[in-house]
Amino acid sequence: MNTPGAVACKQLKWRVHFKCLYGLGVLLVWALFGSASASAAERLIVSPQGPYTTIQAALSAAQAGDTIEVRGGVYTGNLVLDKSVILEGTPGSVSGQKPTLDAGGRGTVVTINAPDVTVRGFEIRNSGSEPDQDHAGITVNAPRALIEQNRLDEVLFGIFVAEGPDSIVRANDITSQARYESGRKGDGIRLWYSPRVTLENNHVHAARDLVIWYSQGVRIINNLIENGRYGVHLMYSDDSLIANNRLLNNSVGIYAMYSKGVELVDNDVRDQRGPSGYALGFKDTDNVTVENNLLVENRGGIFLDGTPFTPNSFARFENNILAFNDVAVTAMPAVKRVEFTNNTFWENIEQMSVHGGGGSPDANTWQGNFWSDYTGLDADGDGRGDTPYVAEKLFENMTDRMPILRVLLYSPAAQAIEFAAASFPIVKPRPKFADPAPRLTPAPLPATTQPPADTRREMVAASLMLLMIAAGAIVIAKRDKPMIESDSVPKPTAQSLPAAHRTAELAQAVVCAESVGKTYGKTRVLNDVSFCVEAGQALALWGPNGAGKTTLVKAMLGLISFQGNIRIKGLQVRQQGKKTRGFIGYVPQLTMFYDWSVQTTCEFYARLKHVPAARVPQLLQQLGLAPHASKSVTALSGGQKQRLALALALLADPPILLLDEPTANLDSAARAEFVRLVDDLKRQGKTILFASHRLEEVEALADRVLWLAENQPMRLMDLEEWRALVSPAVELTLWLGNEQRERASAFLNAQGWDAHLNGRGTIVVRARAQEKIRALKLLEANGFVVDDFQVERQTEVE
Amino acid sequence: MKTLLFILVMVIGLVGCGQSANDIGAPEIFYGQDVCDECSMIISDVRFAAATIDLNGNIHKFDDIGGMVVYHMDHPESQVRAYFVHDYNTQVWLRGETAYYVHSPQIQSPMNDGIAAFADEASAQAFAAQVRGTVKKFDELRVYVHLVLHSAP
Repeated sequence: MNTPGAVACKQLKWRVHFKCLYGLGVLLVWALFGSASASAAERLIVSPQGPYTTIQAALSAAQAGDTIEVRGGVYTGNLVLDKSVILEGTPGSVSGQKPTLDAGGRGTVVTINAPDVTVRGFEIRNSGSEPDQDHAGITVNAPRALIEQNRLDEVLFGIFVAEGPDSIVRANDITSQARYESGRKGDGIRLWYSPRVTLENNHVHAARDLVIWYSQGVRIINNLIENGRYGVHLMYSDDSLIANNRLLNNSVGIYAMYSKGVELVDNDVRDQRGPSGYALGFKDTDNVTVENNLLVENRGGIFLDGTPFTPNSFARFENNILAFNDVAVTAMPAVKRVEFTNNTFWENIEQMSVHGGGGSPDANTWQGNFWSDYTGLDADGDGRGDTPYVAEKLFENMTDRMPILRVLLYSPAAQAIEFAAASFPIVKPRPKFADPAPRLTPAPLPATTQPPADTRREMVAASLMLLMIAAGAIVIAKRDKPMIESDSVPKPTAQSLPAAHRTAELAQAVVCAESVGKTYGKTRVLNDVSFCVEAGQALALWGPNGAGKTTLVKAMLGLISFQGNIRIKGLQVRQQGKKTRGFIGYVPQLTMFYDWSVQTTCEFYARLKHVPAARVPQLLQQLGLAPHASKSVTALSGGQKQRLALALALLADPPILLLDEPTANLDSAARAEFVRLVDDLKRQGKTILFASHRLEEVEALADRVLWLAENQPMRLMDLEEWRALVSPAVELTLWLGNEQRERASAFLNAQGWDAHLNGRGTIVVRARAQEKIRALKLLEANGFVVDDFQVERQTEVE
Repeated sequence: MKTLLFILVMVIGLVGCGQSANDIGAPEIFYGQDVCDECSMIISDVRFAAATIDLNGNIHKFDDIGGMVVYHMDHPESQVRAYFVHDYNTQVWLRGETAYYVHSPQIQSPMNDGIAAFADEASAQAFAAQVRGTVKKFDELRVYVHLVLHSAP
């Protein structure tokens, strides 16, 4: 009889036996199948010497999971991979070249029809070329392919992932057939119904497009795409990430259509100059996030049509830098609900264009962006402008409706129209939008910005940053009243200079200003300022804080609008700002650097300015920075940092140096050293304009002085006149023996001094303060004995 | 003589006024330069390039035949006076209203609308057999684009 206890005991034993049997079974299955499959992963060698001489033969012999190693040589024909193998090319032992797969101009070179195939390390070339076929270097028709480290050349399409989900295309160099113009070439990479594909570290050049169609969850990261038609064309592809790519010199950069969830981060898109030429374009796209991108020198920065498309979707642009584009943002009139926050709009010819005109100024949100043409102020010092940035130029309104007029931007006609708009309210333009509290300093650069490896992205970024930091000061000219731009057309004459004198100066001048004025609201910051500086001369801009020195510097750099004319080497700053800036090395009061070494920083800017790297050690030596070359810039003293700023300004060897109180934050020793360096540069023939309110700097460097003072006319003077104005006069009382007194007085007068006997047994000498010691030395050197002296009186000279 | 001159001027004027849509010439497309009015992409492939002229005389250009149809669905303010498409084989301009169209997913057009135009039905049928497509007249095409292509995949 089985008691409940016995039954339980038997059940326990069975459980133990069952577990043992189960464990044995698992071991048996692993032994039979697991070890068998491990032993099947073989390496088959293909080389001209065997054991396999054709890839096809090795493929026939291969099992799934095998590696076929191809060593050197050229293998012709159309290769079809219908097993899950790793096809790996290793360079030939003699030639050192990758093995070549060559289709002889017919069909696709490699077709992948099995999942989990790897193709790595080949030169792949000569596909078919009929443009209405899909001949490609590699076509993927199965999931999870890994295509890496191949070079594809003379193929119609590069890599065509046609239904290859979860594939990875990595570190390939791809170009299309050179004989076709861009529209007829194949795409460098094409994804077609291939979700979750990763494209990374590829270099696609001189192909047609990089096409992502009907493919969800694609990641496009760290690719270089250049000289093509559409850098990236995304269509019907949701949840895509496009990050850290560089797109250079394509017709269009990244164009997204009919997709939802598109994230563009940290891309560098430059020189897209095709007929539409947008860095980024969006058509009927939802949930768009665009952050930390650099969009530089494109025909258009951002194009928006029907984006965001559906209700409750969004399009957000944040912390992007749009610089030197013809038009920063172009939108179709119906575009609304787009958010632009904390972007930097830097020297775009037109900041915003509504295609065809119209559109509501309130349709989109503009918040806290930096505008390089903003002229308001920040009286409360919160980093935000106190008056809105309003885009409302009449001529821009006209170009929006008739884009062909855009060629006239900056022309006299455009200026005249803007003047008319300002003068006659009846033609006042309609505002396109307003940014209620614009930033006064540019947005910070992306945190991912790194020192250059072989990239120009960071160089442009940092260059912009430097320029922008400089520009930040433009709008912080402290004034009590709201500042609204009200400059108009230039005045015709320079009243401050006699005509003949001016003509002569103009002929030789390197920098020439005529009737330059600048007004903020009702406050006149610069009034009728005229001067010319000849080559090799130094002009000091002298005056107290708020006198307009920095405003004048910004005007010379062409960074703000102004009345009158400024010419740099004969070119109008107002019209050819980019070119004239090329003649100027600019050192601001304070320069911001990244945490790089001195050497890296200089090399970085050298590349930016297309200056040979050999110039860097030469400059570091010249400016006494050679011993600090490997130091981090953050470890430099203030003086060393300013010397570095001077080195950067001198990289391209500009003929003109423009220094905006460069020693303002330095101690006296560093100041003296900096002035000595600038003096050396002057002796080498540089033309120097420098803002300063330090006597010793002007004394040491200037040939002439431009005296600026608030609410007073400017005065241009030579150094002697300036000294007379700035130096206090003293009455120096000298005690000499009776026998020498009269002779000493006569001697001083004979030497040009103003000396007289005062009747109390002393000689009184009127002199400038800094010259009093010279009077004493002169007397002693000529045999007079001065028993004592006293500075009796000190007065400011009128 | 003056009477004759007057009559001549009147005749020329009347002929001008009576010009029908059939007399309108196709606009010129600058390939690689002009941009599609529907999608703003560059027009590169002559085989699929299309154009319209509306009643106000505005010219619209398209990189894909489907785009042309969609554009005028979305822009009723632009009433079309004449449609133009290219013959897929000869690449000459055709009037869109009288062309025959083949639709097939195998036809890779710039925006993947998969529509090619032909001057005559026989050519369209031959191509349709080749690409496993269907032949449509213009009104059928408009309906098809409206109901199928325009509703997105």
